[in-house]
Amino acid sequence: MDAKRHTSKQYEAELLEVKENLLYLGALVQEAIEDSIQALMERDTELARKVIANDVNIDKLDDEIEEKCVRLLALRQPAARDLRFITTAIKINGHLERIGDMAVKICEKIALLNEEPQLKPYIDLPRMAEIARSMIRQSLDALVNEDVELANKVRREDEIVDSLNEQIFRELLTFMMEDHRTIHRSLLIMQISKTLERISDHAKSIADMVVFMITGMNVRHQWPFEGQET
Amino acid sequence: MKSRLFFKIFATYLILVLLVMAVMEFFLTPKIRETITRGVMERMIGHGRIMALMTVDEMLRKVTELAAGSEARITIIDASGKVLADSSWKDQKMDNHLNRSEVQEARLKGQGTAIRYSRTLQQNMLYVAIAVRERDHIQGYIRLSRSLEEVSLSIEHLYWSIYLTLFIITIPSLLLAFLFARNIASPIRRLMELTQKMRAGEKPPPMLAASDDELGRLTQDINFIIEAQHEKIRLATEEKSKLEAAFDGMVEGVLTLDGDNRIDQFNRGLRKMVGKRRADILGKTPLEVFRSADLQASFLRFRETRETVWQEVALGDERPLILDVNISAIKGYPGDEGKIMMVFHDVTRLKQLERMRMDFVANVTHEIRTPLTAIIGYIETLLQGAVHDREQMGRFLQTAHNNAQRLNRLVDDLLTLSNIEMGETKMQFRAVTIAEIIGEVLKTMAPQAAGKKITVEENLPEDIPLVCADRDRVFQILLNILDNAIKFTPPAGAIKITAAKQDGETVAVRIADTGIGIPKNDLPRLGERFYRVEKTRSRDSGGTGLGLSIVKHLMAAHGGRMEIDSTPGQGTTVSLYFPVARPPADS
Repeated sequence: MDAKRHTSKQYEAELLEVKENLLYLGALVQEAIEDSIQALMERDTELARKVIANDVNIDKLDDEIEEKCVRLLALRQPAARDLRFITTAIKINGHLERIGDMAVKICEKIALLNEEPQLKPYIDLPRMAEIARSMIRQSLDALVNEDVELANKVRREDEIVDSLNEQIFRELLTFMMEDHRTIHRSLLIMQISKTLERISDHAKSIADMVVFMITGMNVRHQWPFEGQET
Repeated sequence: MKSRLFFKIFATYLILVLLVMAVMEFFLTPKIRETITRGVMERMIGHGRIMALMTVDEMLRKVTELAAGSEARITIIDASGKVLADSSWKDQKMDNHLNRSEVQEARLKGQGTAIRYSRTLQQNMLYVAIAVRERDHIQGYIRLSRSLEEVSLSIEHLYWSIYLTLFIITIPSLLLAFLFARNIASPIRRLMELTQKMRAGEKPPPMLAASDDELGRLTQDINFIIEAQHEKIRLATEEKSKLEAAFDGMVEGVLTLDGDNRIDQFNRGLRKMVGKRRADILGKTPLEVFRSADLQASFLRFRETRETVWQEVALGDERPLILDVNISAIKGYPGDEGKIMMVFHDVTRLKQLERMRMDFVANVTHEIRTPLTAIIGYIETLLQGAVHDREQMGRFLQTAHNNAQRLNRLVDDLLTLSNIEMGETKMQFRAVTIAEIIGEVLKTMAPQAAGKKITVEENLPEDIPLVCADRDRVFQILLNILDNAIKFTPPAGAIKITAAKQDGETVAVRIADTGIGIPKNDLPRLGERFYRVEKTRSRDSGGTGLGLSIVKHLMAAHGGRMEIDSTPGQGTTVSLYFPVARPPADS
C-alpha cells in the first residue's frame, strides 16, 4: 500500500488504520495462544481465566475493524487493489476473531484439566501452539510486506500441525486403552490438540487470502505444494 | 567570460578621454582660431604701421619687397580710393577701394581690419588697412591682406600636434585604465568564484590577498568567514556524530515517532533488539515492527493521556526477549512539540535472574516441606497410637526414615553446591583414566538400568588420554548424569556412553539416551538450581532438582564444561568435556 499514494490523505489514513488494527488484533490473538499454552504447561488456571476474560477485547476490536471496512466500502467505493485489501481484511478479521474464541475454548479445557493430576508431559502440544502462533504472525507479516513467498511458506506449515495432531491422537488412544481413568483427561487434551489444529487451519486461510490480495489469484482450494519446490 | 566590471571600468575611462577631446573641439578650437587670427592680424597691423612710415611714392617703388617681407599681399590705395599698386595684381585695373570697410575704418581711426570673402581671390581674406599720413593729411592707404586659408593651415598644424599629444596621452592612459580595471575586476571575480563554490557547499582553499587595500582586506575577511563557517560546520558535524555515536552506542533501544506515528529515528540498540533490517523499521509503526499487543495497548494509552508510560513487554519470536519500555513525549524538540519517544531496556536477563531467585526460594521450601510433612505426618500418627501396632510402626518409621534421608540428601546437595560455588570444595586433581570411572559408575547403576530393562552400551576406545580431574567428583558427575538418563528414559530404552579424544586438549564423554527429551527453550536453563523442565516431571522421579546444577558447577571447577543437546520425544545427549592431563604438571 505504501508504494502507491492515494490522492485523498483521509482515505489513505483510513486504509492504514484498518491495517494497523488488523495487526493489533493479530498480536492480541497471538498473545492469547501464548498465554493459553503457558497456562497448560504451568498448570496456571489463573492465567487461563485471564485469557478467557481478555477475549472481550478481541471481540471489540473485531467489531471495530468490520465497521471501518464496511464504512470504507460504502463511502469510498474502492476499486482494484484497495477493494481486494478491504474484502481480505474483513475475512482475515473474521478468522482472527475465531482464533481468539478458540483460545478461549482451550483455556476452558485447561481449567478442567488442572483439576486433575497431569496425565503426561506435554511435548507436542507446545510445539503445535508455537507453530500455529508463528503461522499467524508470518501470515500477517506477509500481509504487511506483501510477501507471497512467506504466505506460501505458511500455507505449507499447516501440514506439520496436522501430523502432530494425528500423533497426539494415536498416543492418547493408547493411554485410554490402557487405563480407562485417563479417558476424561485424554479427551480434553485431544480437544485442545484439535483446536490448535483448527487454529492453524485458520492461519493457513489467512495466508491464502494474503496471496489472493497480492496476486489476485484464488489459491484457497489449491494444494499448497503445487507448483512449488518440485 | 570577460568580467562585466572590467568593461565598466574600462568604458568609463574611454568615455572620459573622448569627453576631453570633445571639450577641446567645442571650446578650445574657436578660441585657438581666434587667438591665431588675432596674432596674424596684429602682426599685419605692425607691418602696416611700419610701412606707413614711408611715403606713398617710396611704397610704390618697393611693393614687391614689402609683400615678400611681410608675407602678405600689399595693396596701395590713394586718398580717393584709387588702387595705385597691388603686389598680386600688377597689370589689371582695380575698382575703387574707398568703400571697403577696412579702408573706411582706417580713414576714420588710422587703421582698420576686416575679414571678408574676396571675390577677386575667391577665398576668405584677412584685411588690414593703415592710413598713410603726411602732416595730418591722409596721403593714401596701405592695405595688407592675407588669406585665412593660411591661418587655417597653421591652425591645422597646431591641431595635428595637439591631437598627436592627446593620442600619446590617451594610449597609455587607456592602457593604465585597462590594467587598473583588470586589477580590480580580477580579484573580485576570483572572490566571486570563491563565494559561488561556497554556495555549492564546497570548501574552497583560502585566497591570497593580492594587495593591502580594501580589496585585500575584503579577501582576508572572506577567507576568515569561510574558515569560521567551516569550523562551525565541522563542530556541528562533530557534535552530531558524537551524539549519534552515543545514541547508537546505547544499550537501550531508542526510537522516535513522527506526526503520523511512524518511526523516523532509531538507534542500533533498537535494531539489535528487534533483529530487523533498517528498511523494515524506518517509516513503520511500532505495531508493525514489534507486533506486541501489550506495547500497542500502552502506546494507545499514551496517545490518549500523554502521560509517560512504563510497561513491560514480552517479545521474541525465536528467543525470549523481555523489554521494559518507556513511552514519553519529547520536550524541546525543534519544530515538533508532540514528538513521541520510546526507550526500550532489555530486562530479559534481569527477569530471568529474578525468576530464578523466586523459583529457588519456592523450590527450596517446597523440597524441604514435602519430606518434612511426611515425617511429621507419620510421627503424629505414631503418637496418636499407631506406636502400639508393631507392624504399622515399622512401616511408618521406615517411611519417616526414608523422608528424613531425602531431606538429608537435599541438604547435602545444597551444601555441596554452595561449597563448590564458594570455591571451598578442595579438589584433588590427578591424572585419571576416565574409562575406569565410567566402568565403576556403570556397575553402581546397573541394577537400576536392569530394573527398567534399559540397555546400556559403551564405546570406550583404548587411546583415550588421561584427564586431569578429581576422581570422586568425576564419579559424582557421571553418576548424576547416568541417573538422570535412566530416570527419563522409558522402559526398554537404550543408553549409550562414548568417550573420545577431542582436538588433543579435551576428552569428550557423551551419554546419549532415548528418553523423553527436553524442549529447546528449556536447554539454557538446565543448570539452574531446582529448574525443572516441567513442574511435575522430575519430583515424582525422586530427584532433588540439584543434580545438573552440581554437575555444571563441578565441570566448571574442573576447567571443563557440560553441553546438553536434545530433541523432544527422541532423547537427550549430555556431553562432558574434560581437560587432558599434561604429563609435567602431573608430577
